[in-house]
Amino acid sequence: MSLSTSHLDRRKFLIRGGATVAVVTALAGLPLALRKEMTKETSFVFFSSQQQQTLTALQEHLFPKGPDSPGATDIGAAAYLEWAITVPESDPDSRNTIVNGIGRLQDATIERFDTVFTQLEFMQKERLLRYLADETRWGRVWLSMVLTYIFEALLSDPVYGGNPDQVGWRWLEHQPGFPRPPTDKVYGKL
Amino acid sequence: MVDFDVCVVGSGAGGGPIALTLAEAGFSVLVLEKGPWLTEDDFYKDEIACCRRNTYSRNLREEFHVVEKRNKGNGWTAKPTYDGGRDFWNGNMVGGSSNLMSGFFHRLKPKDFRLLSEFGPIDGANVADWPIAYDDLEPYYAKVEREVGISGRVIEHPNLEPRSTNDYPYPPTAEHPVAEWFDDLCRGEGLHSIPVARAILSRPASGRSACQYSGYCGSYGCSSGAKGSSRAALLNRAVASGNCEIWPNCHVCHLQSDSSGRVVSADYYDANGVVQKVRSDLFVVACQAVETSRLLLLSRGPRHPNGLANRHNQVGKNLIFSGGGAGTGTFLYDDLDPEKAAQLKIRGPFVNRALQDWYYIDNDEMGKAKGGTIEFLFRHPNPTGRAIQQKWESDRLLWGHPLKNKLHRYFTSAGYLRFETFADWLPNNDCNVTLDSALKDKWDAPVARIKVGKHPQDLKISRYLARKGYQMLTDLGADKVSWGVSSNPPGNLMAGGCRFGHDPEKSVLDRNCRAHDVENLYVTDGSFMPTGGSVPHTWTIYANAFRVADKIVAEHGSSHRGDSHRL
Repeated sequence: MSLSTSHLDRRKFLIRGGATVAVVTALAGLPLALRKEMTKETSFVFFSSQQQQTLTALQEHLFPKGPDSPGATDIGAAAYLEWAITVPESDPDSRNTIVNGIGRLQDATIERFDTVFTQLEFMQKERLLRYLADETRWGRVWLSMVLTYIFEALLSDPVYGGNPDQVGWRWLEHQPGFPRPPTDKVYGKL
Repeated sequence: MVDFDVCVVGSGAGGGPIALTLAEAGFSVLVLEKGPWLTEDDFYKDEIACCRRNTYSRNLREEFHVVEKRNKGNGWTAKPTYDGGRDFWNGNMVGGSSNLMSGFFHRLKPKDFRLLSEFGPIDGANVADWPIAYDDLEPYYAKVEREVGISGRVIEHPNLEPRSTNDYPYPPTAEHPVAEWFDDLCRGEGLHSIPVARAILSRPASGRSACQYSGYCGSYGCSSGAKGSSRAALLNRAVASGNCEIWPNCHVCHLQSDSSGRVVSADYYDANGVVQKVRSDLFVVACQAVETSRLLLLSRGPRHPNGLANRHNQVGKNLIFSGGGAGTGTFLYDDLDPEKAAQLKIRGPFVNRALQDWYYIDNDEMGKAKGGTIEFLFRHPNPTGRAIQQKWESDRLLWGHPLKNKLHRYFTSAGYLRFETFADWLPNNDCNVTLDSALKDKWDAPVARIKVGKHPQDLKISRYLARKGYQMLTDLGADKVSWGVSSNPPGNLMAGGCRFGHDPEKSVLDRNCRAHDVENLYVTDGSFMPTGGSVPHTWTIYANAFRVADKIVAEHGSSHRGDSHRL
């Protein structure tokens, strides 16, 4: 019997209407300076600047850097996630779940704190995320999925953009298999 | 006029032996495979491509199954697989799922061929004796050892099957030091530690390399060619004979039959999605159990209004899987002496050990019953899959430093040995394949609806075996052992649906796996099996397909050989 080949969480949950609409609505009540900060251009193609900043802050909270261990930024988690949900073969449900979750997180942040997620103190983020994970179905599904993508960035072959210099494998003393995939034989190109 | 003598639909363990045998006998053979033709140059140890995405299977939005399971209210709930995260595709490519198997190879035992006679009827189960005996299949088990390439070492034990050869043609694959721990324990407890044969070459042969012991085998395509997939071991040779063509990316959607009831052509979608037709004298279907039943049910014709070979509504009935449980033992490095801890960290060689001391059970607790096999192996090394299991603490999602500490501890402080149990999945009226009445795939054809009812006896046996596995890992020194049994079917271990038998009213195929009511149609994947034995099915599927191939040659050799006119 081989191992389970379970894919990313596919559990259905109610997806709100367009994430972009939700974000714009939420931003309307924020200071102009903050809005400008949140919408500046970045190198991300799929995520808006605001989405990317929120996502990066979230991933760093979920997977913080330690004295001897890499954090989300070190493993390229945000860029990996963007690749993972935009590669043509990716599951549209997963993409929608991620994008809508970012919008809902912003909505929830503004509703409770009248500011954006990136501006929250550590404990404010922790309380909010704990509430979303423990008390809301969508939050539980979404955060679980964000964590799964973090693990993929940490432990997949560096050819996919995460795990630079095998930082994740080295931290966890993981011995990869061989041969390792060349760039022209990766998921999406086979 | 036909295009080929034989058209084989599907290229896995059921199709490969047919293609090779008939091609070498001079038949012109066409193999239609819905997936691509990947080779060793396409297989890498890439967890994303292998196991986190559906590289080797269909897009579940376009091609899926509906799975009907018993719910808590004792009713049935049906869900499409795109909505459930489960997948009953097992490798859509030339060579099929045999490319991705672990290759733990066991023969069935003589009593497995006559389960009804040996153990009597079981309420709620459709147990039947096979129409052939172990002796009929034994020469073909031996043939698979040579042709597919099986590495192993025969030892005497109470449940060893009769053999026509003394040992395997290839020596065992390299064994992990843990195998010796296991052997020592078994000696002390009076059990019989069985070296597990593997469909993996331990030394180069037939143009294939030996195993490179990367530590990643099951679920991965083999980049050395050592794994005995139908593609690497058989189909390459079939093509080399000059008498076999393989057409990848061709999805057969219908087998056309004429007014006499014979199959005359296969309709298929080519790589561009255009419907094509190929004519042949003989047709062999080997799409794996679920899709084989589906194709027959979809293939209605003037003499087959309910689908091919389905005059008595038997197609799709008595689908079986492999019943089982599993457990994982955690062996803390700090609790082991340094030498053993160092041994446990070695990656690459295989544990390759199994117990069959409880293949048959006769005691006060269980009475006389058919038991099964307990396989011992390392936990699969896929790191992301292992990490994901660490994100929950009870029912609570973990993150931050608590999660990282747990991850680091999990990966660096212990080794993990597993057991997996294999028992009969008793055929029953609640486990079958039908055509879904509402949902269709991207080809506008009804998808297979898989009802997966499990007999309570299977859970009882699985629990009994799992407790034995738990005890073994505990006795080996595991700090803790988590284990369980499940009523969910392992989608990669399916069989049945077109059982063979003597009675046309109760079976689909005759003893040679020809459809009772279609003279030029054979089925050679695991669909033929009335019962599955308490081992993985693959060796038996290979062996039976070689047996059927010989029957086809014997029956049709003189009349069909070389008659066809290639396209």
